[in-house]
Amino acid sequence: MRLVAPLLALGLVLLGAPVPASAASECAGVTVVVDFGSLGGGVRTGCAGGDPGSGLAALGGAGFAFDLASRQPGFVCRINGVPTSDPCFNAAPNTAYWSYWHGTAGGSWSYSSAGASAYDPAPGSVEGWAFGAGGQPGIAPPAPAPQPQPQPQPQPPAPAPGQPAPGQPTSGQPAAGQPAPGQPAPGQTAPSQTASSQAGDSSTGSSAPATGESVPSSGAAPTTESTASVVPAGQAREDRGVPVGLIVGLAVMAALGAAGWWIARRRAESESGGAGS
Amino acid sequence: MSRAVHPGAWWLWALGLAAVASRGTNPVVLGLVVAVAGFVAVTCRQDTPWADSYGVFFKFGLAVIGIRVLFHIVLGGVDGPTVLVDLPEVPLPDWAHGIRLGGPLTAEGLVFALCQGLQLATLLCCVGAANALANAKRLLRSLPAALYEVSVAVVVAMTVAPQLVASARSVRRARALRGDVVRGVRAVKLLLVPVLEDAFERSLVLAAAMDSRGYGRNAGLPMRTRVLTGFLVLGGLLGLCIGAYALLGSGTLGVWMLVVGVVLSAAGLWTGSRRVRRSRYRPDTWGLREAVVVTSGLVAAVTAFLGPDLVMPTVPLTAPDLPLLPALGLLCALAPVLIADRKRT
Repeated sequence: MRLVAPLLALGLVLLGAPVPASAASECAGVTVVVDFGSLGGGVRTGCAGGDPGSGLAALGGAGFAFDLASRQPGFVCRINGVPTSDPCFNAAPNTAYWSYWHGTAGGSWSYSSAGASAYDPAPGSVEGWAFGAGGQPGIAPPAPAPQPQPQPQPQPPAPAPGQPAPGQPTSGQPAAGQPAPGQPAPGQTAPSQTASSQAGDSSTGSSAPATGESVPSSGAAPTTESTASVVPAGQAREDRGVPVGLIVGLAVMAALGAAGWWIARRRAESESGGAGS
Repeated sequence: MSRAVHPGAWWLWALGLAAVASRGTNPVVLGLVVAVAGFVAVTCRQDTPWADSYGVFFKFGLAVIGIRVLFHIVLGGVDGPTVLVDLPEVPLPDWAHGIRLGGPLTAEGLVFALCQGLQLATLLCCVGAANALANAKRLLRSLPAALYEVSVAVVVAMTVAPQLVASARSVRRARALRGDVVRGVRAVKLLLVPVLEDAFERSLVLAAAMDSRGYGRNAGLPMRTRVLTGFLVLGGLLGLCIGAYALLGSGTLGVWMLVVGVVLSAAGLWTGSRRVRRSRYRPDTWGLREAVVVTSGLVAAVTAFLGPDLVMPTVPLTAPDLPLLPALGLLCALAPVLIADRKRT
């Protein structure tokens, strides 16, 4: 686990400079649309720069956090920490799961016939994730250049009124001045934030460059208000820095291992001594 | 105090730890399970031929992790945005859609594969600890007599792991006494056949011995009883197997199969046990120490299920945390160390 920091740094290097945020529509890589559906949080758009090797890489590269079912490797059970009700053991029931779609920019959605880990999206294409019983994402795949403004308009998230943040009912559409509300960023470690080329806000053609945005969003305080209702679990899990539990756990493990090894050695020595006599 | 703890208690304790391990892929929790199981196994084991089982299963676990990672590198399956190495990808035809050979190796995928391998290795370590601590032959005597229809299979299944360890030890020792010291891969090639043969011979001899003591004896029983018991026990076991498998798929059918299996098995054991008589020599009893051992394992399992889910976050990679409740439960599972028989025989 100690590798995490260097790996993330490496990821930063490999992914190269973040794609300028001006570009949800002119995304230089793969555009990723995530429809949170009944979970609340509306529809968010992200951009994975470069040529991601698979659908999962694109999802992560666009700045979305996800977990995989432990008995079904490759099955995405949570995006940005939701739904929290899914224990992430087995594949989710077919009435409430993350369905995976391919789209052409400005075209339509088609249900993926391959797993997200086995499908290699072409640069310039659109990937969709929608929570529910297998319905397609709430918005059409964003078209390339023409409409920087209209993109957020379709389908304001239906369940949003039920959410505790009435001030931000349209959390799916990043308002022009907002610092990246579409990002799951608040708790992420800095490198991965930067690596995830800015996304949610990309429709606002004039946003600041990616790095400039990700910094403010990492300070949890200012953005919590707008995003708390959207990414409860993702935030909760990433807010702490180096978990104390990790250090304590490693210490206990080392102590038990050393003690066990010492006892075993002592016993082996006394045994061989006894046999030799 | 020289009496050993009941083997059933050790198995229940180990199953409790295994339940914790099956709960998720959090590597800190899994590592703690391995450490606790290992420490207890090393501290509480008796001087038996199979006392080294834990070490054998531990190495087996390491091999499992290696295999899991190798399969991940070749076949992929889980990806993240952080590419470590871009391996060459083997192009596959259209009908092999969905399968990928080679391709980019990502940090997230590697960590996920490691954690999954670690989970399996942890389960193996729990079984290894149980095998090192529990006397399989004594455990067999506690089994219901009505299992006689499957007696040989049960005996072989339950004793083959400790027998293998004991056989490996004796075969190696015999070779060493003849001045034949081989190590590494060549040793495996030379020892494999004699060790396997010896282990199965021992298991079969044990099954025959138990038969002679009345276990699995069906002479003198009316044909009808035998058929009825056999049908009930076999049907019940089949139901249990199918039910347990279906439970993993979270269907309602699985629950019903499980219920039917339990009812059938219970009926079979009841009708069988009434008719089969066998003699017991120095019966194992349950006392305070057994209760402590079983309770400590159960506490670990229950706390793991009460606490938060132990899922290792995949993307983005974050340092895993150790939830307090399962950690305390796992420390409770160290309790057998306190009541272990320190005196070495």
